[in-house]
Amino acid sequence: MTTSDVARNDWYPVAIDNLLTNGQSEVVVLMQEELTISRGNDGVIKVTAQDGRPCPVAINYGHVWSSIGQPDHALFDIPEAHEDGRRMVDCGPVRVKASPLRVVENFLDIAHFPFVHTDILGAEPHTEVEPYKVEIRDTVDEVWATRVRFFQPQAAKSAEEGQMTDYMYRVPAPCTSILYKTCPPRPGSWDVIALFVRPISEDLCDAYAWMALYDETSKQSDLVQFQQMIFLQDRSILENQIPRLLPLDPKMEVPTRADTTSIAYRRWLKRKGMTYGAQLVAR
Amino acid sequence: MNADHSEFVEGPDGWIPVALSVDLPEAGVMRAVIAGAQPLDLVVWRSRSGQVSAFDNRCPHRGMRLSFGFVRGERLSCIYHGWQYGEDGGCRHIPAHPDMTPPTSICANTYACQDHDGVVWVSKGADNSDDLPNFGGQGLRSLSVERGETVLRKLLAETHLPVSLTSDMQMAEAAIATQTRTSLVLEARSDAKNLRLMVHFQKITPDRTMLHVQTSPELPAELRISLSRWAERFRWSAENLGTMINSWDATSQETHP
Ligand code: FES
Ligand SMILES: [Fe+2]
Repeated sequence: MTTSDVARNDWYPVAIDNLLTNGQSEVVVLMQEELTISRGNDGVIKVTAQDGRPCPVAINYGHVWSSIGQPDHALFDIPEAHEDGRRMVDCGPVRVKASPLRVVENFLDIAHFPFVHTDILGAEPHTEVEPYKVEIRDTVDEVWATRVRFFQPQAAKSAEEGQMTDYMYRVPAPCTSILYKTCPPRPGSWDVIALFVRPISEDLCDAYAWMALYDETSKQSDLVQFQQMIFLQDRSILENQIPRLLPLDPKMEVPTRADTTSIAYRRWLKRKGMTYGAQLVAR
Repeated sequence: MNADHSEFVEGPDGWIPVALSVDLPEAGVMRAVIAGAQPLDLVVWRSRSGQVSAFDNRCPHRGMRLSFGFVRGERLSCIYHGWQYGEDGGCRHIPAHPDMTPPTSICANTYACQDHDGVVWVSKGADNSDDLPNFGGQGLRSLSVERGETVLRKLLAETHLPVSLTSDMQMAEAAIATQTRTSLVLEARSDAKNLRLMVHFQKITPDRTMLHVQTSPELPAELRISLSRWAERFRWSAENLGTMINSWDATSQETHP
């Protein structure tokens, strides 16, 4: 498999399922290629490339997924999506002028909470990142971070006051990251928040946030707005990182122990040969 | 030919004016760009105690632009994860590991920087021995002009300055009293005795220049306001007027193929 094949032959979000009505179509760009997503009057979704060739289609987690290549694997599974009692919320795409890989890496990072999401997801002086566990699970070819703990002044829309929050992170595909966090109204369960990223080019992307929550009280629009506000704070960082591509050369940027997830993610990308959106050697 | 060509390949040597001192107050942080084939993107900041420093505008941790950061005491703190850097560029504090002393290897890339004669100067070279002006001016304003430095120097040599305390429009011919590598001084006879205007040039690109303007000290406020308006008009005419300027541009562009 060549480098570009890894990126080409994967699934990416191309539309929000329930926003595409019968007889409608829309055009999106995936890795510099224009795709037309259309839903026939029979409700069936087709994705067509500019040269007329049909592209693979999968529908799951509120999104339409496609590829400019031929994925040799099914779309990853999110088992929690099938659990009773969860509310599924899709937040819509946000355009980011940064590498899709930078966007995923930022989603895996907790150390920025007190500085970027001040008084919401973190607050000084609670800045310490305790040791946590990171592994590349070879059987499933995924990056996992577990036993992550961090103090949050307002952990979720439904949280009233500060608390230590538990997290887990899962990277099932290079442009997807899923986080599990303490669910305030239901101790013992995890809220699930995922970020699905569609690369438009190597340094431009659309990021779709999707949530599967145990929350019966909050209004849908408030949940979306909360998530959007958080993500817009991240975007102001992401669009000002230099270089815009994610450096895979370990000499380029200096990590510490708190960055263990990011180190594993970069190593995993390099090992897979996923270089779309990455910078291999320092320039 | 003139010196601009090599400067846009190598970037200028020696001290470069990047701001008026009054525009970078205590705990202030700003971005500065210095011309070159690979232009330098810098963060320039002033500590609480008044010390000025310049670094590459890129945090060694995850590449965030340090010009979005903030000053805490004698340190510049990155906005992304709060890493703090001292004026020597060394990382002093990593909030994710508050009890750890950061290794000395974690270091922002630094440039020589000093506050002199009301202007903040940066140098990228090792040789910082060249003379800086001592004009004793008072900061008026900085302005970015879409013209190369050579053209601006020529236009300034022919300019008229407002000189009257009562009318914005009463102008007198100005003459260049001093010209140096980075700066020039204009003189005009005015109601308020000796009117001098110091202009310091910061090349951004071959066609864009930042002018840092000072006046002679203790000018009446009315005259300083007139001079500030004059600077606005000067920018407008430099950017918009006439064939003569265009032909100068063509000459100066020949030297930047
Ligand atoms: S990028 Fe500056 S502290 Fe992390
Ligand atoms: Fe964030």
